[in-house]
Amino acid sequence: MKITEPHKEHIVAHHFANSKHEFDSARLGMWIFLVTEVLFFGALFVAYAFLRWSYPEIFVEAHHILSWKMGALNTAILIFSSFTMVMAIRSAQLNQRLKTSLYLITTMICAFGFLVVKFFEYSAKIHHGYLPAKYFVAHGASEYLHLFFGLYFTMTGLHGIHVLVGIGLIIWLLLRNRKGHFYSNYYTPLEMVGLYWHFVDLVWIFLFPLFYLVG
Amino acid sequence: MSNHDHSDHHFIVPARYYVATLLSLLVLTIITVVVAQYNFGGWNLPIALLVAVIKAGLVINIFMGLRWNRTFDRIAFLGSLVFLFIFFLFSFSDELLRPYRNPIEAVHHDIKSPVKPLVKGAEHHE
Amino acid sequence: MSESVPGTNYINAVSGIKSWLTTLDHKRIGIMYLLFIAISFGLGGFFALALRLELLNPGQLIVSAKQYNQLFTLHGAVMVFLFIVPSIPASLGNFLLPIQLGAKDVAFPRLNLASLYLYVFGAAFCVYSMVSGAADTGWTFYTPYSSTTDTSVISMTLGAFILGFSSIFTGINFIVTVHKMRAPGMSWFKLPLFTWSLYATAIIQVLATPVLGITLLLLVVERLVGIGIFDPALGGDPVLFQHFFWFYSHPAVYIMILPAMGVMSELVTTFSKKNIFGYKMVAFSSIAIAVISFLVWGHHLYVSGQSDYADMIFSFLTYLVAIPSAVKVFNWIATLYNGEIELKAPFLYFIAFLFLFTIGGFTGIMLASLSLDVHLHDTYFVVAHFHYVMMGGTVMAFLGGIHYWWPKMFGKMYSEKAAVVAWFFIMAGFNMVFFTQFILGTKGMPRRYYSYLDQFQPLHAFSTVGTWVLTVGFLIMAFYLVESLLNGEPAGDNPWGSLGLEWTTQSPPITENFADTPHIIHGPYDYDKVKLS
Repeated sequence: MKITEPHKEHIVAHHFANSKHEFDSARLGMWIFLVTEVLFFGALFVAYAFLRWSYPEIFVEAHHILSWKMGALNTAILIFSSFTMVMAIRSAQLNQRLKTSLYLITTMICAFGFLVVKFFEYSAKIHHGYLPAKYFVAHGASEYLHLFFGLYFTMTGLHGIHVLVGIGLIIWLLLRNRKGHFYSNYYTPLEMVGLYWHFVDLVWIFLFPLFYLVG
Repeated sequence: MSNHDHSDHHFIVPARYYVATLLSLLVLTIITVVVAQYNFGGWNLPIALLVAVIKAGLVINIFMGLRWNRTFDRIAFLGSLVFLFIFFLFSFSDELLRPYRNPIEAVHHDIKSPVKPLVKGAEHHE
Repeated sequence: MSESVPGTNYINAVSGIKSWLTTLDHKRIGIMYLLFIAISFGLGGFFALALRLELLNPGQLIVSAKQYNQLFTLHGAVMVFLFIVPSIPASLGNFLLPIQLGAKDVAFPRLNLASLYLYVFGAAFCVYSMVSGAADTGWTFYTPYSSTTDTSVISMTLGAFILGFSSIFTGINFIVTVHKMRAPGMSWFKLPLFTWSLYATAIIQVLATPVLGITLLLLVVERLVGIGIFDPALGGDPVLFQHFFWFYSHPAVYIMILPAMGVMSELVTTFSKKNIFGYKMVAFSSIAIAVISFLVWGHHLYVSGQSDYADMIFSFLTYLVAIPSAVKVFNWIATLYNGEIELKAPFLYFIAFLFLFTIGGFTGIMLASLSLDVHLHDTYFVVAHFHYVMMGGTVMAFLGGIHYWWPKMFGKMYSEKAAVVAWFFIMAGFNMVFFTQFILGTKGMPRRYYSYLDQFQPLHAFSTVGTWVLTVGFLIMAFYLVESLLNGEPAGDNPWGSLGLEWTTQSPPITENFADTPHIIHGPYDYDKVKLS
């Protein structure tokens, strides 16, 4: 890590007046993107509400099948990763390039950890046959249990894809930080990925109680 | 115009805000897990959602910085919640206001469905 | 920044296909979109000609019943997703928005290019689905038929999903551009009304399109693994699909009409040399339409099994959404009053919109009424209604905008005489096709039907002949527009004598749009205050 070399001076894009203009525009753009993600995941939560209203019994039954301990562990992991992400941004603001990388790496490890836990969870479900309708071979008391698992895999799967994309973005940030792109006057990509990452955490904050805790 | 601007305009949040938020979030997670071990009947869901909303508020305000960001970003994000709520309210109230539930096995017709269900064995539901 | 060389513009500044395909210039991106959108219109039009040809007689003429279903599905899907949703924003909007704001480019030029690539990628999926067993579900993909039919639903829906992201990226870009890229002196209330309309459209794009994305994704997953939430045989609810689908698709029709209304405001002011009547009301009505559009989707579900109370609430709210549209129409008419009207080709399209959209909008109010809709739902009345608003409205305004800004975009003028001739064919053809369908609908002819009772045959035949008249009009238009690019008269910077900011630049503009950052002193319609030299 070449932290002794000076940072690379950021050149503001030609259509912006100055770096504040560029930063504020990028940030607004990212918040509008998050607006679309709110509606994207939010619609799935509406589907959840319909399903829960129609078949409350499948949620009671599934509550005993899903492992709340693994869900809680994943929640803690993601919350901690949100913390390390925001600390990475703060380190860049303070010109602490090494700390920025360390915090980013920690965030990435947490993200991997989340996916590993999910892998074990999914394997267990698949092993017992709790899969969406066509592949559902498990024995459930409720006739419509496959609907729960269909939605469970769709929502957590989509969330998991977002985590994977987040990992890719963090790797990109690490590579750029290594080259000295980020410093007190330019850390826009960090801020953008940070906002995205916190949103991924937000979705899980709601997924966890709704699927794992409330039966 | 100069493209090398050196004005420092970014507010640096004191680390204690972030640490306090982390700890609060972990504590709230523990609370929600503990509370879920008890059965409050119809209140289970609202309680869990309330805790989730408080956690979300902390992430949005402190980690995502909306507390210090008084620009249009805030309005945009809150607006998205409003429209999501509209989607939920109108479609769910349709569901609530339907006069009957029609479970598939309760009504018998002698109509052969032209549609093939994806799941084998579902044909016996007419 | 180097001084612009006379004769240099965004078209000839850099040459070569690669420079176009990797461009970050919003104008080049807008022109490429225009080309793809025109091709999509031709493709959708081809499907329309084919299906109307089949309907010349009851009974089989050129295709089987299943193929007929595929034809109207493709016509709808191509026209909605590939043509009309991107039409004005992606082509005219991309070209003009930064110039109307006095900016050098949109906020995120690379995102703009990504949006174009996604459009092409999504279109490729749709074309693939056409050749691999085209969907026969109707463009609305209602379940459980769409989740169980053996045709290529997945590739078509994935295509629409990708196109949705193209639309979302354009929306994000436009919102940030309007907020952040205005030139000094350009306050919100000096913005051209076309800009206001693009802003309101972007709000809808950003809020509604993700829900369509999820709906289509759920449909794909349903077809692949059979979750069941939309399929009654598996315990699901097909009306839930309709709620999901129409939560996007109703606001989507306002994505279609709002930019068109923006064009109308530009045309009426330039061609009557008058300030717009009630600028603020017209501007706010765009935002009002965007917001209220999210409250009315249930009017597509009146007879689907939705609860009676929801029916009534949605009906009431649907009446509400007509009010801001009416405000605009009245304000345009008031703008015309005492103006110095110039009957040029763009203005002819303004007139077309005024009459045809009013008919379309009015028949929308008729359909909003529960008691009428019970009889008219799924008849040709509905088909006529939406073609009047989408084609009589959006397409007419789009054509008006193309004819208005053509000299700015290409620096060439087309033949006015040829344009007027084409207009007559298009007007005549359009009304022949679609007014007839109002009558067919009230007489009870259902939509999407391959065959029909003999008594409907004369009206169907008349409607089909109308499509041929329409085609002649469009062919004439294609001819004189291409001809203008090759041999057209050079147009000046401001051939229409407009006060809009875009007319102060060169025709075609230089890559940076303006040689120096403009400082805005007057509004775009201040004809009473500013005299053009």
